[in-house]
Amino acid sequence: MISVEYRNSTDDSVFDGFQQSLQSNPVGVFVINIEGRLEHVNERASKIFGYDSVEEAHGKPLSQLEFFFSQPIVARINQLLIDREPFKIHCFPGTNLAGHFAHYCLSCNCSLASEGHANGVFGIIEDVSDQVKRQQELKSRVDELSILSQISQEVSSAIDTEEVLKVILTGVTARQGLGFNRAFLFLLDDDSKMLTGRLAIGPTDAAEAGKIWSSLEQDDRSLPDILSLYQEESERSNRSLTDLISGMRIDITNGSLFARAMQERTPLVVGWETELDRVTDRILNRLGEKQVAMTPLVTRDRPIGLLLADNAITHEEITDHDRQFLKLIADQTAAAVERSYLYRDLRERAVELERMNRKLAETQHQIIEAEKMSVIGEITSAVAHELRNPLTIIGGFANLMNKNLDPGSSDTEYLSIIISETQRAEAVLTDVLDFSKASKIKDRPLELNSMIHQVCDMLSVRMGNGRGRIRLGLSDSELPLWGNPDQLLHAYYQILYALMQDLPAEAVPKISTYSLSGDCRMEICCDHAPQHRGDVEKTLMQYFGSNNNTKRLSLIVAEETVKHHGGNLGVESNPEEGPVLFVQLPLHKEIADA
Amino acid sequence: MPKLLVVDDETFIRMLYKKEFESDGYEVSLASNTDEALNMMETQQPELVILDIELGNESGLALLNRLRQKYRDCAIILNSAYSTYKSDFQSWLADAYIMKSSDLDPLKDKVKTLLAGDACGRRK
Repeated sequence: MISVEYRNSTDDSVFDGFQQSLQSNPVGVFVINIEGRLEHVNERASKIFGYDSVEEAHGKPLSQLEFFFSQPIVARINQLLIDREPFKIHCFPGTNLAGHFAHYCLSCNCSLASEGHANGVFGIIEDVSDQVKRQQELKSRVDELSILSQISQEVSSAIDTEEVLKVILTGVTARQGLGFNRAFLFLLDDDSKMLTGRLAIGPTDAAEAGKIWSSLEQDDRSLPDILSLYQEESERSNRSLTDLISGMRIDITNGSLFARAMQERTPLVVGWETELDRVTDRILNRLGEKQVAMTPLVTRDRPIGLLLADNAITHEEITDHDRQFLKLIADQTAAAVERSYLYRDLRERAVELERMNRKLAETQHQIIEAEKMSVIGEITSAVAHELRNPLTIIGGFANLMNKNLDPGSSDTEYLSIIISETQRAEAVLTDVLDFSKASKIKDRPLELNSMIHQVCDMLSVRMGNGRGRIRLGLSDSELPLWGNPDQLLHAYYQILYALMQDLPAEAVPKISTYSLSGDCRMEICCDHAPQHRGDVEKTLMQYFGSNNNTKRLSLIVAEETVKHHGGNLGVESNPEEGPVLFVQLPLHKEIADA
Repeated sequence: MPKLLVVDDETFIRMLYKKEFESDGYEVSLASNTDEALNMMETQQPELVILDIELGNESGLALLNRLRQKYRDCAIILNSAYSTYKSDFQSWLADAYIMKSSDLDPLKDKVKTLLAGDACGRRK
């Protein structure tokens, strides 16, 4: 039998004190002899191994502790007796003889006899479960911070709302981070009264969860890795989970727990014991889980949605810490969603601006072209007019001379050349003037009452002798039109002129104007002279009746002008006023609205 | 002998028209501006006026309006190198609008027609 000699021959009392300290040391100390049995065990070591006392442990074979140390560690201890190399295992899990599971730290070295040969193994064992737990907690916090940081990085580069939401929800369900099983996102409608289900991430059942999570189990996966894995592994389950909430609309004014979270803007954990209102109960039933954490998404003091997460697969309890961390994620989510909305608006504005810029460039080009044409037109017009008078004079006198010459005169031939060449030059001028005329008259804003006044003034001059008298009952407000001033004045003039010529002198017509359902309307009647109603009707029907084919050319042109401007004219029979001729044209909306 | 008044600021046009119409048997008076024209209207009392539109710095259309109000029975032909005035609202007070041309036949025909009385019987 091998014994370990600690005794110092010069001082027995020191040795006794040392052995006593070893016995009560909080660290487990043990010695295994060359036969592989526990030779010395202090109280702590015997407790760690699961023996009731030091005595019970004494002499027990190492093989009895194989389930504690595991086969590789036992092999390592045995090897120590051969190679004498000390070793330390910083952390290993073990379950002792009493069934207690813990994490331990083990260091061993070889005990040597005075002759120099190995006579046993000296070991120190320590329960490091608290340290391990603290390390795990620390790792968990680091993971959480890492997830937050990665989410922050990912969403800062993501601009599409869907992409942002996917990053956030993946962060919520990433195993290294919060580790919720499933996450659901609801966004508030524009009227801020209803939450609408937008996106969900997570497995639909345990089998799917096992498959997805096992692929995520590898260490040090970054969020982008997880995102890409999620794309491949969980697209189908995410879709069916999203289908579960898509179209779901939750009223946030009805006092449900959802409404409370939104109104109070605080995160909530709904537990298995929480008393549920009807709405919340119905929704959680649909999601298939009664324990959830929910937190509102708030940005700039304005709620925009709600994040909901649960552990529907593992049924792990949601702690207060989980709730707080979910709140942190929600704050980031809100900011990211807000930013993505802003970006979306910005993008839409940019597209609109680009469209407007294109339009502006086109218009600018058209204006330049039109101005060029206008300038060319004006120059050619001015030149042509300046040339026409001399040509008239040259050609006119040539004609005059030609008439006065004797028929046989030799000058006749030359004068004929002058006359024909002058006429050719005049024909060219006419073509040039036709071109320049085309760009002169343009449509522009007009006002009906003002046009009626102009036409009436003109008619009274034209008709004379007391004829051409007209009674006016024009609208107090202006009646804006858009059109060609010359064409419309001509149309009104021709219509009134034709009517006035054929009416009896005593029948003074009345013109009234007013707006009617987006149109401006002019009416002509002879309401004050019932005795002439027959004549008036005959005249009106002659010129403006729908079945009439003998209209004057000027009236046909007038009618076409009115139609060309989007209006119409006709005759209506009014029991009080007799026959009424009306001309109706669209009001110029922009000016009228202004 | 029918009396005509030619109102035009171009000397040679006035000379040409005088020669032409006199050779056709008309009595022709001439005016180069608004004042002369109004004076001639009073003294000569023409039955028809051939009126240019651009009278130097004066407007033939303004003169047309004054003539139409004061001499209702006098026929007026606008005679211009400009075709654009044809669509001007004010020009419709005239009885006819003839473009200036070395071929005076259209003008002469219109003078003849108006003095004889037009299709609507407005004159004479």
